[in-house]
Amino acid sequence: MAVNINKQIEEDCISSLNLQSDLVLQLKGESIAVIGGTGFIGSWIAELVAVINDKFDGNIRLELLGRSAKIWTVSHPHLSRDDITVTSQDVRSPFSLGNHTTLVIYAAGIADSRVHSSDPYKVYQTNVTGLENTLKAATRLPLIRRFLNISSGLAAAGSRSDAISESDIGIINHTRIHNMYAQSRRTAESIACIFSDQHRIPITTARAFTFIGPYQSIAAPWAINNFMRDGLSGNNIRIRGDGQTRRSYLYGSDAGVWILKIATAGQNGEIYNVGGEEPISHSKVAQVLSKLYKKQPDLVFTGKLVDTGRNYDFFPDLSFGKSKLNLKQAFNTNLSLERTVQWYAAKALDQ
Amino acid sequence: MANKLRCAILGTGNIGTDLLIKVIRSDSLECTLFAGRNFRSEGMQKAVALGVNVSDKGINAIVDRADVIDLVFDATSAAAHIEHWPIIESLGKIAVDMTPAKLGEFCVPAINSQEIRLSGARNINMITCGGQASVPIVAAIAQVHNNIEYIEAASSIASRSAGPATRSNLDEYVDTTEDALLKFSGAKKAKVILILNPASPPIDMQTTIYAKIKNADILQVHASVSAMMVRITKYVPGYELLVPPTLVNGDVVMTTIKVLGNGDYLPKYAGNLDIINCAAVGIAEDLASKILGGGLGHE
Amino acid sequence: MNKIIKISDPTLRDGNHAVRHQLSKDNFASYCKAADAAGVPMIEVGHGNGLGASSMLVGECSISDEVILSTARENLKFAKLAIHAIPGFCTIDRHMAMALDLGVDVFRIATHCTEADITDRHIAFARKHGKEVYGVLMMSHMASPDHLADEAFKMQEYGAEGVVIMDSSGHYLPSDVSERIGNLVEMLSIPVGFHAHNNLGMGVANSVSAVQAGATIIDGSARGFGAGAGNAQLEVLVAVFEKMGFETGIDLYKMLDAADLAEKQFMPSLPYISSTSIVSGLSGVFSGFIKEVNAIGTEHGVDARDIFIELGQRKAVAGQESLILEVALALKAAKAVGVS
Repeated sequence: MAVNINKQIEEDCISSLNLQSDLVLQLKGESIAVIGGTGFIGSWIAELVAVINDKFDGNIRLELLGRSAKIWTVSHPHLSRDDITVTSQDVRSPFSLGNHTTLVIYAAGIADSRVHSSDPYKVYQTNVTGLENTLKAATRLPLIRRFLNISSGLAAAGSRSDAISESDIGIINHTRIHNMYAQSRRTAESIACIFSDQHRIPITTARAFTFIGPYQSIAAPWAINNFMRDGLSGNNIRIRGDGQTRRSYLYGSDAGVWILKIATAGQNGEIYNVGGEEPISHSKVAQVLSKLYKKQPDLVFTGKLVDTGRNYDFFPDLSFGKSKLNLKQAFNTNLSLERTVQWYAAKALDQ
Repeated sequence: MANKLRCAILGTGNIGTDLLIKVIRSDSLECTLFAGRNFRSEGMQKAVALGVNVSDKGINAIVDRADVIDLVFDATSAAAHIEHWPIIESLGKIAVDMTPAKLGEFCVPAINSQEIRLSGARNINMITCGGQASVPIVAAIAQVHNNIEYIEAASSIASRSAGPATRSNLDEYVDTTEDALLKFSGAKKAKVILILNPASPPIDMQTTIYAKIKNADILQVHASVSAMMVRITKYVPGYELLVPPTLVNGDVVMTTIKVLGNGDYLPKYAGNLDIINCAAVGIAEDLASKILGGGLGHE
Repeated sequence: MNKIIKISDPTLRDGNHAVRHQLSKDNFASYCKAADAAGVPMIEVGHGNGLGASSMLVGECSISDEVILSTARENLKFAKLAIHAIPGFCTIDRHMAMALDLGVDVFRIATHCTEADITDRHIAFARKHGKEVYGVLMMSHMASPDHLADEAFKMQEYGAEGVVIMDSSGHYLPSDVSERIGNLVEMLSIPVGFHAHNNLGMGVANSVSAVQAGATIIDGSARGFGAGAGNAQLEVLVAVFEKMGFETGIDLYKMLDAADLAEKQFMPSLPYISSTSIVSGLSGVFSGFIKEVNAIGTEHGVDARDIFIELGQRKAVAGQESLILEVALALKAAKAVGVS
């Protein structure tokens, strides 16, 4: 079972890479450090590097820094290779990067909204202090080509338009605690600005929207994870509200490829949205998911909302990335969902 | 320099830092390593300012400097301690576990420090703050009555003294404290309640103990509790009897204690955090006198 | 405006406060049957302080949680079986798992209104098992409207499918309710509910105000049977909401019958607004303290009203019965010395 899943992931990486024909060449011989690299994005970058090195003679060197190298090694045994090193590093503590590093990607952050509620200070430290420490480390690198800060689409949220574009400034009431995650990402972007200006490091920003796929922790309390978990445990899928809230979903291999593309080809000061193209409502997603389970679950809507005119949609306008870097999705929503459910099911069997 | 037991402190948060100050003040303990994950934490900064050796390599630092460590206070988390203990054990060191991991012997210095000392236990568990507060009283009652049917300890702590770790581990707190109550009281059933009180200014930690006993001898209980108070206040100076043992509803002995913290690192209202640290230092000093005074120290 | 109101009936939970948690197995069986027949959609049962709360501190229940839940489960065909659970009193492994096994449909995870972050794991447990779960904020007057909304938001993030705020001490006036409920409706993307207490005679009025501000979940007890001055009187709510054009799904006549039955079977006295209730409502102190305060006040020769005012000053939180004795002794000492 595990072998099939790894093969599938490898094939998915190739599908996504095929849409960025020059990326492999641009990455040849690079030395990439991913901070917060033991999470979703780091895992997919590792998969991509393995594929590029094995199949296309990429000669890329990848260093992942994360909270626990030990846990990574246990959960990604097939990625135990010489060209990928994993180091335990708490981003809140100052650290150094290897002098050979040419690309630095900041992928750390706590996306779990329960932690936003229970420990907002830790979230701030990871999102802001962690980025600052990484920028400081980057200033001492002689060979650095680019620094990529993976921020969040929420940094621009609160705007009136449906699809959030990179030029949206967003409206956040920074005096309220529930906005702390978004505010911390904005603060982090500001700090990146300071380092770009004062230390002359080329910095590009990627704003992450909703990602989906293997290596996403199903415990993270997003609607889609809740639906998947409900379905996998044989329960009905519970949807809060009327289910009309829309998200878009970007599959892991596409997300990884886009991140690598932006890291190699993005220009100083540019911001790129990274997310799915197709906005789809929670109820539609739940419907698609329900058909993927053996025991097809019912959809339970847990309460109609009072119409306050508030819009809880969250998805990006991708026109900038499309025109500048030709960013395209190899995986549509349905296929992404199918892949993800397969992976969770396989993991559940393995346990 | 007088011979002191060499202690490492793992975990540089509030508990660890408060422990550090107590260890430094102790006549028989010294802190040879203060290890955590984040140099930027206040605890680390404090340790550096006090001239203590620090490291951000966590348990790996303990391994690296094993030659200067006799005892490890683990002030991280239950999950982390479960990972740390095999390593500490393989190094032949003693662990004083400040988390509710429950791997080792429950220790309440006023009651069983001698037993712990003689048993040669290498993993000593400090139960919980509520456990350190309630078990002494409960044991005092059990010394008079060996037929306690039911024991209950309800604690109120200031909301400000309960951080994210406490809040996401209430169930573990309740389970571990109940286990300790059963062990030290011989009662058939135990219940533990924890209430966070957001009053401002913050309230001091308070615990009310109820013991259901047929034909309770309230005078004897009084005497036993008073004797226990003397033993506790030796290592927890801020421990106070607020409502002396009172017979309620015929067969229930009720008493309330309050713990005022020493204010070493944390404010005084955080007596709940202070008492577990006082107890930890208490047992460590006890072990120090055995190890340094008597034999080789490492079996 | 939403025309459907989900009524949640804590007669057999909040009402248990009124009889020092001594409701019998038969009481649970017969009221569940009657309320179920009336179409009450959600029925809450248990010790007044919820699952696992039976204790010396807040009073021992005459029957176990297991007996209560299985009795209720047997006697509910249509209504959902709900429990109230306070982390710190109620643990996941011992209490919630048991409730799950006994067929509880709805978990209402409650906490003091400023401590929402202790409900994360309990809410997650219910969600993991596909159960309906709400967050409940008690003594909600003790946080500002914005702070209350922040705490409710956390519960939403933890996975709650709705948040109910309680006026545990019966402290609110209708304008307070519309401000707070309105704030919550604005802030949250899940339904909002209100649980009234009648200390200042505002139980039904406050519930109406809540609905007008956008609440879609309303708690009410038969005859208002509940702690202290009691809750909003359920059968009155049903009648009023019907008159206002809202749908509760409850048959009014059968609800009246259920309330008659409840009164006859297990209400030694009907809820009424006593002088102490008025004082506790004004001072914002949890009404569940009343019997204890009266008893201790009498025993020590201290005016119960003074005890309440002092408890209010100290911002006493639900569950601190042991504080009452301390306050009474302190007031007694002050009186002896001639300090007012």
